[in-house]
Amino acid sequence: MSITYLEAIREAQAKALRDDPRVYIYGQDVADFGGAFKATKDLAKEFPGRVLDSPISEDAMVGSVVGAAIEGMRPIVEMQFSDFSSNAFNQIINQAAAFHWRTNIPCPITIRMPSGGNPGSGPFHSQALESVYAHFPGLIVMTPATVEDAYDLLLEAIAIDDPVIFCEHKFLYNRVKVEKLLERNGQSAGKARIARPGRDLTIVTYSATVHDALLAAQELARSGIQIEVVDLRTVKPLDTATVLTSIANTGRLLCVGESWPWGGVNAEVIARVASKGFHLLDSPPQRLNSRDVPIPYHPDLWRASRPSVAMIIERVRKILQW
Amino acid sequence: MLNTLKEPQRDALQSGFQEQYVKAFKWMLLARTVEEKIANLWRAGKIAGGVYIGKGQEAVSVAIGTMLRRGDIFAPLIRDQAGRLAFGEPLLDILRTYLGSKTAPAHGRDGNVHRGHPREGTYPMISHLGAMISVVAGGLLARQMKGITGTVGATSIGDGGTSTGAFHEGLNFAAVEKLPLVLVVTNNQYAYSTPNSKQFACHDLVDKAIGYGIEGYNMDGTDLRQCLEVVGHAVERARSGGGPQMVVATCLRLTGHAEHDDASYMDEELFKQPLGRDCINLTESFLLEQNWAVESALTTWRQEAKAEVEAATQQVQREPVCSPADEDWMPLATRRLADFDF
Amino acid sequence: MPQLGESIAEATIVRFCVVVGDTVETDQEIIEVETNKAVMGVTTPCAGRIESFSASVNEAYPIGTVLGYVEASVEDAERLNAAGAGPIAERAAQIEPEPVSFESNEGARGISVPIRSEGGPFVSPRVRARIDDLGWSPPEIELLAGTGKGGRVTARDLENYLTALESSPTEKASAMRLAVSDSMRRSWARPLATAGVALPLEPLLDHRKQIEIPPGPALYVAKALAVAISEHPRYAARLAGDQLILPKSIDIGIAVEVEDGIIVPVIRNLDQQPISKLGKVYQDLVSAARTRRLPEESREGSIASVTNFGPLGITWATPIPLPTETLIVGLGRGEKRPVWDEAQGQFKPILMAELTVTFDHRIMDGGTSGRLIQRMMTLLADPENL
Repeated sequence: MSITYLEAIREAQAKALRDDPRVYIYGQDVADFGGAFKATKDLAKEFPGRVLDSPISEDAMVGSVVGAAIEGMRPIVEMQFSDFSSNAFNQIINQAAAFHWRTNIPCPITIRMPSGGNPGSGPFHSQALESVYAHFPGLIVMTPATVEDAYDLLLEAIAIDDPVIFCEHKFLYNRVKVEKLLERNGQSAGKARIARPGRDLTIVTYSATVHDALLAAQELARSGIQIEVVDLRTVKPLDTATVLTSIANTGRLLCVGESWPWGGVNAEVIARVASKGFHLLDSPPQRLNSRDVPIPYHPDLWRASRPSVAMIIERVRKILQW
Repeated sequence: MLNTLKEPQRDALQSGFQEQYVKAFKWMLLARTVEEKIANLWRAGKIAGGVYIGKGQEAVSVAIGTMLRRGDIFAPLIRDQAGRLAFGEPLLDILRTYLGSKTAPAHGRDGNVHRGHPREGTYPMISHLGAMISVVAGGLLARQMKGITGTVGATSIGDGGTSTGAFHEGLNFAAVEKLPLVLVVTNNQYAYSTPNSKQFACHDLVDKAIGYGIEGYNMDGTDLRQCLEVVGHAVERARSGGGPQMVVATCLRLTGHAEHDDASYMDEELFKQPLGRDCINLTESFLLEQNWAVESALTTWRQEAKAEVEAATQQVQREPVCSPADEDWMPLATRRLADFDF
Repeated sequence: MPQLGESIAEATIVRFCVVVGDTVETDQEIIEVETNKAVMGVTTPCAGRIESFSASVNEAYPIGTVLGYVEASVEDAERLNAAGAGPIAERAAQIEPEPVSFESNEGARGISVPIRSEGGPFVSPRVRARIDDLGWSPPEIELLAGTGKGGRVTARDLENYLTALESSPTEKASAMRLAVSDSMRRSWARPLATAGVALPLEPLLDHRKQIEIPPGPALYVAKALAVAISEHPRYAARLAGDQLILPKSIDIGIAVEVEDGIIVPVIRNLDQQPISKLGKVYQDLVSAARTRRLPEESREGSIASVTNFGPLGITWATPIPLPTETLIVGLGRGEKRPVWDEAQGQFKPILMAELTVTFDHRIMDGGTSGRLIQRMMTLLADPENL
């Protein structure tokens, strides 16, 4: 009996609904239909009146959950695709993110964003927007890569008293699974994990590219190269200390992420390492992002536009020759 | 299909109304007085940023504050000083916010009209017009989910604000969920420098109510009696399950968009029309006509308002100003995350 | 198994709508499958005959799995194979065979080759931090073979070297040793050349017999050097950019061996000091040097120095001047050598010592060094002039 990343998200929501009457789920097609990806399948039935369908109004969806939060609720909003969250951008960054700062009242909302690319999804169903939201003060941004983290971090997100952008990766929904979920302490935000220990180079990454990095590490191990893979888990807060400890060990850094190059998570990690860990670097820190273009539709173009296992391997080899 | 353009009940001389009317007038007067004060302070260079006043729409705004009850939700907008006072916001709040006191509701983190006490029902606006509608609606939905009945949520918007996507989404959502939302659209003919002819093409803003499937009413925004009646009716309709209510008030903005705007673009003809009359003057006339006050009482009330504003101003001017040294620079509520690297 | 929708990874066979042997048309639904969203159909890619199925009912298969084969016409087979066999391959399940070159995050030429700075090789911040910890100076890295680009010494190379060193016995270098070491390293940054000549010693040995505190041969050589420089200050110029810095005063150092190193006390204005006085001057300096009590004005500032390694048994050497000096004259051990006397037609035994002058070849060329040496020889042949 195994549990997929998607099922874990559903389980976490079920647990939250069960444990706290203030929690409810709001989104398009989430109630009887169970959500575009079935992330809320059967929850409307199990928790009547707690899983509500919204009109196609992302701005109003987020505005309304801020109002609900003022009145003491702990809403979860499901964006059908992270790409559509741009319609709600104002409410997210100006209403929700600034709310506590301006009023001293918490705004405990969770915005679930099915993120990232899938073959054939195209420019408006593939975006990875963690870098965009991380830029704004007042938001927490989570990017789980594993089934356990999808479960744990979502529960933590709901418990956190601030707006959380929960970037769940669509590609991982049904492709990663575990035998069984173990209960954890629920305080992983801001704590990266070492997905694979190594010695020769550190790859700092998050979400789906963690898996690509691990495959690349496996392949490189055959040539005697030991790559350390750091899974950030949350990009805001970002566990700088774990990253620096890893660089202290290896001296070399490659940041890998699916979002676009300019000013993203990779750039942020490198900026921190360059300013706080300069003396730890044996080679210039590098980053691997998706190409600076809108995400292509055709699967072959798509595959060539985003970081892949082969690209990671090639980059690592290049850095090691430096 | 609802007849959304119902005539409101006319109960002008019902007992209790006089008291309400006089009280409302005093709030209007106080609002006008304190706004004149802050306009003066701004001209004297004592206020940072812009000053926005509600001259000309005090009657509309005070009607909202008067007809809502304690426990209702109110998201005031830019020109709602009268409504705020009637709803219970302390006079000190406006002065503290504009003068940057440490004790202002946002203690310097936000300013001018972006103030409120959310847990007490006053939601502080953000600058993006229309954005508060969905927030109020969401608050009402939450109360419904919690089993709280009988509350109403109200917010204002201007003719310009009705053009925003947020207005549409928020109102549509409230209508779909049949929430007890009262939306007061104050058509003061201008949105900054943009006249109605450039803002919307429908014949009358209240026609939008049909489009949203909600009840809608027109009212003369210069007439306090009509404002109290219509807004009161709308609030009652909402409170008793009539779904969202749109009230469109017609008046004229008797000032610039902000104090830094001289409004020279406004059509002078409008000032000569009935909608261009000053609601405070009209109200005073009505009080005298009805013999609910004599001239000397009016004079006294004006002086009292002035004195109250002066006293409050002086108090606030003696208070400490907000300071960077007092900041924790922490935007998050979750304290356990305070030491993490963001 | 085709890609059945956004994020679907696998599907379960519900039923087969045809059997092996059946004739089928293009786009005919032949298998019913179920995903976690809905029941969908798998259709034929072309017309033909069902040749075989390789899947079973109620089993789940990932996207891309072959479920069966359709016997088709040659044209159809060619057309479908040319378009790329099978559905879209899963990213997570395989490593692409062809790496895609992905340069857009760097400069046009990729990661830049390390540049040389401070006259030494490029040292990464990590290596710099490590050698700072060790107390090394950057050019010491030059001695190590590096495996990085352009022979760069990587942190790993350095660590490996240090690990190898750990297996050898060590002792702590004294402060004197480190000072000399640093001094010689800095001096060696210049192109130094050495020219030499055999110096007859008799004239100066005879001369010194008359002096109460006789100066040693090194002092005669030093005085001769001082006089020669005073006649041509260019001999001891230093180079700074495009300027030749000429000596203010002729201050010559004499190398003295002390425990574990050398000290070079300086005699100021040596050109103006009579040779007869130098013996005493030198004696005082040596005892002060050996007890580390040299007066301030004698500690440094020499423009050139003299070193006498004859007493150590060395006949010939190429000494290195201090970093602030441009010349050093070395004197080797005296020995009797057969010198051909043309006039008398025979070899004569003459007491000689090798005199070597090491100079900064940026300031002085071979010819000039020859002139300097000749002048010194002339002076030393007739020490009365000193």
